[in-house]
Amino acid sequence: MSKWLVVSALLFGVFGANAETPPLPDINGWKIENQDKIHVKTFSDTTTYLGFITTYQNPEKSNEYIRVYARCLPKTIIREKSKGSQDFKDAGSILFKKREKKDFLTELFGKSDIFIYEKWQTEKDLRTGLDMPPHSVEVWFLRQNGEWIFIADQKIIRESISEALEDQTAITGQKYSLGAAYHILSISRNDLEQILQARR
Amino acid sequence: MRNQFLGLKLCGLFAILSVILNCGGAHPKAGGALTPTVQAQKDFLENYQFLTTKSEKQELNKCQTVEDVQKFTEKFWQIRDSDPNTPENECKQLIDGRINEIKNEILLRNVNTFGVSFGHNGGLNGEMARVYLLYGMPDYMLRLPSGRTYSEMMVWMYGDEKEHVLFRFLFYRKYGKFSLFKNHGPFIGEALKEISNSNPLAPQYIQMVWNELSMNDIDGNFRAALIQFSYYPDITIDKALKPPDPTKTENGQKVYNRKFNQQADSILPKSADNPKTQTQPFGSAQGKPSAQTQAANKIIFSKYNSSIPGYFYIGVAGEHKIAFYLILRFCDLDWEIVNDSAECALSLEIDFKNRQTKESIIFLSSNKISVSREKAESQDNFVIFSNKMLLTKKSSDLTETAEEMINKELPNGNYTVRAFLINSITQKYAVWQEEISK
Repeated sequence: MSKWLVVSALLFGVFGANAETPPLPDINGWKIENQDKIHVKTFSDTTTYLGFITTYQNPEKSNEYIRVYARCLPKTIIREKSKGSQDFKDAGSILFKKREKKDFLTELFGKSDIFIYEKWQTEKDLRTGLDMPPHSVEVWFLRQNGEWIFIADQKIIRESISEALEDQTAITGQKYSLGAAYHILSISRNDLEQILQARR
Repeated sequence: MRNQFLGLKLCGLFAILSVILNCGGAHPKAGGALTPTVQAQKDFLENYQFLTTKSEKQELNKCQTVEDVQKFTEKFWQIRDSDPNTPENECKQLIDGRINEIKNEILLRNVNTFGVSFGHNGGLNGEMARVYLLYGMPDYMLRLPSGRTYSEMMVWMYGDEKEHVLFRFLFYRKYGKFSLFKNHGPFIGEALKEISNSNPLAPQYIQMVWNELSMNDIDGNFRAALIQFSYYPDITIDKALKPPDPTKTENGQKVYNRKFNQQADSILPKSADNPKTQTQPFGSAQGKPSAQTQAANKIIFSKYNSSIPGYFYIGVAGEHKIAFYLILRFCDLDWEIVNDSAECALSLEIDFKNRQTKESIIFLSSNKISVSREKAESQDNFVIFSNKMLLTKKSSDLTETAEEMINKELPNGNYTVRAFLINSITQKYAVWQEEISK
């Protein structure tokens, strides 16, 4: 009986709506200013994509920005070794093979889940004409339990997660923390074993 | 006598000039102002001259009134409309979009073409704009800084579905501006002269240009662009720069140019606030198919694309006993529909890493939850994994309840506990990490 009371209390606390969190920002129609991938390199030729960090600019208020952290299903790419041949006729075709990578990244991006929004406004330094660091950054952060929390002016901390792989240590994930809340992106052990197998 | 002759010459010159300036009703008015018709023709050609065929230019020149130009413009776009069943003219939208991109200097801040401006290279009438208008953003843009013997170069490459290079447009900097290279061919000497820094280039220095280029053009893309415009020998730069045939069709559909349908829709990552769950045929969307799953099975996807939200708690109770809970909502899981029921296969891995020795002890558990379809979609149902679940220690066949296994196999110490949960079918996952001391 007491166990269920604890569980019920936990469920209410965990999955209940957080009334203090303002609505999530709407980035529809915003312009992509910059995009980066969240990835880990288990080996020099092996990259696993875990998510994306995209900065959007408000088209109606050009000094307003939102940086979005999104996670996707991990996808591993092992770079092919160059064959060393020099065929001018098809020079450049290797780039079009890379396009497959671009296409799959676009697909991954479209199937990603946002877990952090950072919103800020820039102001110009009247003396230099350059953008000054923002006075305030608002952060919406998705905890691992699915609950959004909202905090202003607190820094997101990123840490790498590593694991021992054969005779070396490899970075296998990234942990994003905001105070006590965290969100982890990582390769599964199954994928790691497959990467190792492919190298043998 | 000499003055008389000069006077006659001047009269003749004036006569010729007046004929040139006054021929045709639609030509500039005296004082330099254009008639509305000429202005309309000029405006049209300013934007679309590179898309206008020779016969269309003749037709446009024959227009006598602004209305004629308007009619011509309507017809011009009508025959290029790739889908007449829609109110929009997709071709016009595409081309006008590219014109805007040119006017907004889309290349100026692009990482591969930083500082390259259409405006400084002829604007809408320049060769750079011509290529951009016809084919849009290249699939690849590469730049090679100027060497000791050759000018700065930039190659725009467009590929086809067979991963071959369809076009290589090579621009080289000459007198501060980018010129389009058009003399592709096996006579590389002429090509090297054109891109060299010295003008004229003495024959004995041609080899030097080639040697330096070979040293810096590691992947051969710039040398290839000097020799061959396309992977396909029948595609020449002259053909590629011609206005596309507006009447050309392929598979019964109007094809304006090869790049016409390659505009990617703008996409956004999904924000996890869409309450809709989606049911899709298995293998058609997310996830990796499993060997055991029939292709006909369907999946009820949660609103998340990659994650499984859940609450994980681990702590030490009395007598150094470790206890944990993992609570997941049914509606946050992906369910495979098998006959009348919904199944969810979850694998849980709990890794106890000793903070001092860095050694890991890993426990694994595979779980298949089977419920009714209605229950699977419910917001109110939960699954709870706890100490009572069965765990297997990695690298051994030992299987016991978590309570017994963890407390028996785990020596006292300080641990970082990482729980990794993954849906075996769709590969969505979640990771929790906590610190405990036993």
